[in-house]
Amino acid sequence: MEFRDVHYTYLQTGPEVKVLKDINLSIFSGDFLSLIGSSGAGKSTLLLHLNGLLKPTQGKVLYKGTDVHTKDFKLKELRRKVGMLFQYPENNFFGQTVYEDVSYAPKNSGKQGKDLERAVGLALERVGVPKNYLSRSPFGLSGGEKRRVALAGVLAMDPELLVLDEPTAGLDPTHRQQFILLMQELHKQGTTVVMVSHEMDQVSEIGGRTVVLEQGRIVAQGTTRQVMTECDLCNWGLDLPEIVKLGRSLSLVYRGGPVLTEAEALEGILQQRGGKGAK
Amino acid sequence: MIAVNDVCFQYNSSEEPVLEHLNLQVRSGEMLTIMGANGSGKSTLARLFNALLIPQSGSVLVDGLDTAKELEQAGIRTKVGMVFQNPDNQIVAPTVEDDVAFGLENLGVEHKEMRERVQLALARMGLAGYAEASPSKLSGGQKQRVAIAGILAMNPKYLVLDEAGSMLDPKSRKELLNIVVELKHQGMGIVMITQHPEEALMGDTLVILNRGKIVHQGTPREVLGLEAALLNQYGLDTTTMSRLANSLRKRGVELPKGILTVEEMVNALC
Repeated sequence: MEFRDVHYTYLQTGPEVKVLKDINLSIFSGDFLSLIGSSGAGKSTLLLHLNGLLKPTQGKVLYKGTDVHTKDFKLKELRRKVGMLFQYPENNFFGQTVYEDVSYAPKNSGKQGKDLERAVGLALERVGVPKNYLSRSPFGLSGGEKRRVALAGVLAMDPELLVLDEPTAGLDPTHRQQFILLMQELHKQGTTVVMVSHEMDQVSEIGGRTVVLEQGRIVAQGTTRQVMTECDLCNWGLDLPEIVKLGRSLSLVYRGGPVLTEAEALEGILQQRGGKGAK
Repeated sequence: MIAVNDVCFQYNSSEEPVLEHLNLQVRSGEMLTIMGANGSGKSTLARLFNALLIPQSGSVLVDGLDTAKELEQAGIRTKVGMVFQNPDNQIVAPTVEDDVAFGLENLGVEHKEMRERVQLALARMGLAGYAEASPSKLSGGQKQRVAIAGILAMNPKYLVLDEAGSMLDPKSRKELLNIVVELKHQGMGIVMITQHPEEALMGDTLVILNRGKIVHQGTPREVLGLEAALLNQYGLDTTTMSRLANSLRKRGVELPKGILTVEEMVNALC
């Protein structure tokens, strides 16, 4: 997908609010793209352009080269390919059973009978929720389970692009870690992922590419390593990951570059000390 | 002091108790932090402090007032302010000023005094220029500050924050923490529920809740210095630096005990 000179202005009663300004961005198949920025920077608004829920006030959003807001473009199909997991998705549970919730979207897109059952079963398997949960109430699950069931509801559509808005907010550290591993596994299996996160440690551990939004503009983009280690994130209301702070204080290097992850910091420190155990 | 004495709590609909035989104290000028996995009972506990929930057995006493006594509940709610996770759920009025005045209005505070207390609370939260603004136009961090200003206007003695920073960006979260620490220094008793070990370090006492029971209680350094495997058992984690220190020790690097922050790691390695 490509954003070309995209501007977006909320036209409410009262003064206009320019939320996105001059956004140029490409999302490639196989990307893991993290979108970071302070509250109100325009991250969620940008996400809503990915499946055509919002139309740019100016500029274009292209899917495989075609403007998604032209008459001939089938937005409905795009929405089938772009799965969105919004913030605190479990707040939107409505079904009596897990099956009802997970089957909702594929059913609406025309799946039925064995096909539908297969899609639901596969989605639950991918998020690691046991089959016997199908008949349970989604409201009685733990926080981590709820989040995974919500994700299964999105995966049941087998999306090409998975869009996640603060996917681990409110989860405890164990469930947070599980969810990150799950996202990485889905990514490995070929799903393209775009994630909004306030957790800088999480973004740096995941790697991939990072885009920084500030007051509606892209102020930095590149590999996560470049953005985290070369930019001064503090200027944009963000915090450096703990590991990057440590790396800067100690000038830690891993494979010739500044360290980004815990594992790299470990090797960097061992190398610096010339101690035993360094790889 | 808020005293939680041998408290048990169970929701009508559930088979299992949510909290079992809890004993805790919150003193003025002190910060108690609570960590626990999702479903450990943290939010239920938070709601016991200001009589939103009443324990089935045991008692919660706020400066001697009993949350179970209906006549004492109004007094308790002016003493104990609560800030929840989602700022949007806590805003009730069309302007910031009205929102902050809401609690005082309900108490029937006289107009002139109300205005003064609202202005003071807004100033303390750095919102002096926002009195006429619509809360819906504010950022998440600003909304949380409006919520706290509304509480401060009531002159509470205790403040309970239930993951109040979890929906905020890093900068706003840090600002919120600084405000809370400042209030503590001014003598307020603070209860802070958090999922972030780096934040828990700021408290005087850290309690770990697991399946409705207190499984560890001590200074944050003592508790976060526990074996990582033990904390993981409770669905929790120690700080990034503590984890890294453990990995380094396993690879033969000698390090002093109790490394929890970047600064401490840097000092230990230089």
